[in-house]
Amino acid sequence: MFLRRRSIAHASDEELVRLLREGHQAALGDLWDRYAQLLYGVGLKYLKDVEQSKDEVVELFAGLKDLMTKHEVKVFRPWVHTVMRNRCLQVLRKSRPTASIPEELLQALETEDHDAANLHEASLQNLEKAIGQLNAEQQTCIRLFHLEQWSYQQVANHTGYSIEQVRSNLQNGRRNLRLILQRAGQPGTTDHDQPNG
Amino acid sequence: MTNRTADRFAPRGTLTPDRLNAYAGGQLDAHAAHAVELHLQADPLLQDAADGLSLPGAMAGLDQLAQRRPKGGGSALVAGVIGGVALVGIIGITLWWYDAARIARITAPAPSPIVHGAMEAVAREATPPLTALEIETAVEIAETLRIGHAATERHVRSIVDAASTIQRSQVYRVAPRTTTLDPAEKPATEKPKRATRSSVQLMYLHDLKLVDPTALYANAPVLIADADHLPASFADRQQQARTADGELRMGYTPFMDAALEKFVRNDHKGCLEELRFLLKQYPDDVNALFYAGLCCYDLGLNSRAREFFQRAATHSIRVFDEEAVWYHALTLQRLSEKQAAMEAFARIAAADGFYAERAKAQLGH
Repeated sequence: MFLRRRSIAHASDEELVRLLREGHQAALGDLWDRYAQLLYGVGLKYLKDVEQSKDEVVELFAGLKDLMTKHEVKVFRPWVHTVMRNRCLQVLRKSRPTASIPEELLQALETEDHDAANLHEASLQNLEKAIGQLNAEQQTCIRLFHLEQWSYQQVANHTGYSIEQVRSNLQNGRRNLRLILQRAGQPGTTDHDQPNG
Repeated sequence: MTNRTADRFAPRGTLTPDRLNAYAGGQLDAHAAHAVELHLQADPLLQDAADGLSLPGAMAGLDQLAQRRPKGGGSALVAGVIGGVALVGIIGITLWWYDAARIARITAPAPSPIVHGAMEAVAREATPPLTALEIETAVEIAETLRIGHAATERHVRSIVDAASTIQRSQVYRVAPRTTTLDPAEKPATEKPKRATRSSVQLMYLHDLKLVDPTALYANAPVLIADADHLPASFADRQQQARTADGELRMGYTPFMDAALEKFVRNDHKGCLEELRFLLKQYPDDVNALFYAGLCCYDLGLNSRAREFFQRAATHSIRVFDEEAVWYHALTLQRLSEKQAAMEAFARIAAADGFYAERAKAQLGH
């Protein structure tokens, strides 16, 4: 019994999904332990309501098994994130039809895919060159955050940007860096869109 | 071989839930915050979660969310292991009591046995310390539901006593109690041959009972102010700095006096913040543990209240154990742990102590 539980505790998300589909209720508890807090945070971000956020998490988990039998779940983490965001979107549309929906919620999730390897594998020389091609705001934020290892707050204090702007510059800067490095022919990369810096 | 930059862009290590909470609560320094933010940059789910968890009230809600966990999984395992360990402990203690009539109950500062069963649920891994954010975002429960203020409570000096000439910091002595409350505990057949604790010195501040600090500490304890905390008894930091020749420190009793003044004024957040500060320097202070439990209960921080009451009830200085056990049972009730609460009330009722009648009322007797 203990060995079985321990093996579940070390199972990947996808293995837990499989176990849950097969009727192992314990897997649901483990997924809860891994994701309830995060999904509650997601709910709070968009719904701004503690009770609603809790309810949405509980309901999501209550229907998780059924949901997974209807959908193929290749990677659980981004999938459950999207499910939670969609639930928030539904709640907002239903309860506050006249209120504006956060633009972020309407956009598809941008996850770091394998292309992120370009960033991690780049040599310092290539990276320096690529950073030089970013616009000024992105350059500053990327240098301070990733090279100097400052926090968002420190970067914001130094540059005068808001935390949101810092995050946005970092997000866009990273995406553009990946594209620049791909174009420059980093190993295992292909040509993609032009950077929109 | 060219220099690789993976360490600049890739998150390092694993981001634990506690770490994320600490980040969301603004408790990390810049270096630690950066380490978390590397994770957030790489994972939109984490970024969304951190954004949400940093909103006011998030932590209190998180506490409640944990109670709605589906059955099965890791926590059940932990509970099972804890239950097993507790069972072994119970058997061991029972055998020990049968065999050790030569040793008095009070010889060893064992945890209060009345809480025995109910405490199993909280005998878990150490929880992270109470945070300023939790206090700040807590919401007071309705006044009629609050605890710890009525003059009829055991830790509150009665009106008659209060009107007497007893001074605020007068020392009292209480004899050690001999009640046997643990279901596993058998009545002693002999008087103890020795007792390590003949009495405990008490004092009253704002008519609230405390263990005198001389009974808790070998040397008179002082509180050392830090950059983030201005003790309530100082109007400002300049006044604080002038005191004691510029040293930012104050005595235990005036500190508790100011903290409990807030409590009696129903400023539970203010009181709890003071006690949190004290507990950072004196983490096992039974006075602070007990009153922090009351504050948490009145602020709806039920899981925290349970933890503080449990620690007060099982403290080696058994001055608040009866009160703490009672409030612990009430907290279990608020946490919707009905069965555990009923079992606790049953033990309190059977013990026939100060709260026995109230416990019987809870049981519907």
